[in-house]
Amino acid sequence: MDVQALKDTWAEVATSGDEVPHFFYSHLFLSHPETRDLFPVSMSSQRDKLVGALGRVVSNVDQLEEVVPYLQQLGRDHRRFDAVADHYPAVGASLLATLAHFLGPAWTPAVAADWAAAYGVIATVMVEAAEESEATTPASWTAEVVSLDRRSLDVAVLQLRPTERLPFRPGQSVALEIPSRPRLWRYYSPANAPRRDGTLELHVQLVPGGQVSTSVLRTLRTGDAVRLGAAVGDQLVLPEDERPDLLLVAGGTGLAPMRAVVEQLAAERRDSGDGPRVHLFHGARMPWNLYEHDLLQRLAADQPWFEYSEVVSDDPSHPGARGLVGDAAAASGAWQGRTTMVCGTEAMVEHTVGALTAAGAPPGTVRYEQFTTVLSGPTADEHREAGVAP
Amino acid sequence: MTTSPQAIRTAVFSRSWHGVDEQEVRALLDRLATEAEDCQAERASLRAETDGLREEVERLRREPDDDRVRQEISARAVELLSRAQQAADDAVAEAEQYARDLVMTAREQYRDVLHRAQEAASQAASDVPAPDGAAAPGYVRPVPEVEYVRTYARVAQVQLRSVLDALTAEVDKLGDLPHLGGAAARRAPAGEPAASSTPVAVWLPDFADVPGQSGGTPADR
Repeated sequence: MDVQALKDTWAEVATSGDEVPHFFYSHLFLSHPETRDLFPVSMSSQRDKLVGALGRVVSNVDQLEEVVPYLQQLGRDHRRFDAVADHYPAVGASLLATLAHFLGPAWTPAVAADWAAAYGVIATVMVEAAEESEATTPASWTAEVVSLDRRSLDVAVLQLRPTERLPFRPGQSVALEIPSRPRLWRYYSPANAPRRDGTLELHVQLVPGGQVSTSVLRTLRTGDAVRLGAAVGDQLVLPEDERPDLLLVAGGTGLAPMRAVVEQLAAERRDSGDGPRVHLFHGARMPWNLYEHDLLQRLAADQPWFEYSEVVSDDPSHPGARGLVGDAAAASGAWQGRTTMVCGTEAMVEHTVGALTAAGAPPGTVRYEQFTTVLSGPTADEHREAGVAP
Repeated sequence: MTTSPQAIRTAVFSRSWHGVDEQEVRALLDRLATEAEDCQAERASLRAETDGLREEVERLRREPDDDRVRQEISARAVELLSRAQQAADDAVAEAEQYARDLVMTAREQYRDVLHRAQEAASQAASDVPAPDGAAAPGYVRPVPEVEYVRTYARVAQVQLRSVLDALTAEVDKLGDLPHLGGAAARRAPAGEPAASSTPVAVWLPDFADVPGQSGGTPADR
């Protein structure tokens, strides 16, 4: 396999921009119409994903061991999209046709053979990883909506009961698909530590114009069946063997994974009588979106190890702390000697990390989930809607 | 039985009186032999080509998919489908943008209304002369004004919620438009809501009296 030829031809194809995924998907749907149903109506976010993933694989193809974990995750994750081994040759054929189309005379038999071989490796790794996880994990979980509590105009709290136990660690996220928006998956963090009855609590914030969040708040009903994917993410998860003191900074429903972590620590403290100190900052645009105010105030009043601060950014008449939660957290100095975890919108996370760093927090102590790099596919765009990025 | 070029070239004739010019005969035989050679070569190459084509036909007959499909999907069809998909994507994006703008506007108006109401209330409060010029702290606001603001806030919230609901209904319609294949069948029927059973909140066992899903109406705070 001529690695340099692969890279060169890919760079050449990539100059055609959006036309490349357009051509690829159209070709795939024309040659195998049954694959169209695997995708949402609007393909716009899909296109970036394909090009991004391929670009990543091709540019690292000479360090295969670095790409393999990515491909394995990709393969496992595709199970929830109902992608099966039978689809891989179809995708390969359309990929080669796409490359041939955009390369023109540069598509020589040698180049074609290299690409066919490269795709063969990719597909094998993905299919094997998918088949391996099949033995232990379902492709997706069905869950019943047990209750839907609308806390404010913007925020709803969902209780879900999966039919089969869905394993996760506090701080992780799961993908959610609701019946009225098939094929549109969004990531949300369970706001609870694993419960005996296996139920999950998700916090959904209305994203203006967001197809899924809007539909969750308005059309989802008790008793509806939703689908969930396997838990992903490791940045907001406490290490196995260590319990550092924590500063938690949450924007909007970015509170969810933080609440799960606090719950985990509360349970551990009950069992062992010991545990780290925790200071939680919750920021919202308007005071009524501080939707766990009562619960967290009470916890802070009862528990000396737990502190809770609220910050409101968009209501000049708010009597409490006003401004951006990242500034408040940085100014508090609570990051000193603690591990900091940040969750919110992309802009919120970026600002908070910047503010903490400027205040002097050592970079290694600030943790946050970067979903654009979680290779399972969710793009930043998709995460505007997710619970982890309200 | 064909005569080989070599046999033609080296043919030997018996002598006779009045025979023809041997040089001429030799020259003719040479030409004929060369032509025969060319014919044989051409026949061999044609046979090879025929064999190749026959194999190709067999192969295509065996695998009707892949290669043939790849060639059959014309660039024009791909182009057409791409354009249709782009049009659909644009329509969805436009609807999303529209919904986003409406919600943002509604939020702003909601905030302004609340802000104005609060200002009006504090203005009204400061206009009320305190009895004997000494106001008791915490009781400066006349109760009717506070009630007025509270009602105002609730009305605004209800109105905004109905705006959002109407908006979502529109967005829903958009999402329902394209039915591709089994898309409709996949949709779970709404059905009757199952008997509501709230899960026992295991949340913070130390604070078992704290219901996990409590939370006051924001306007009450």
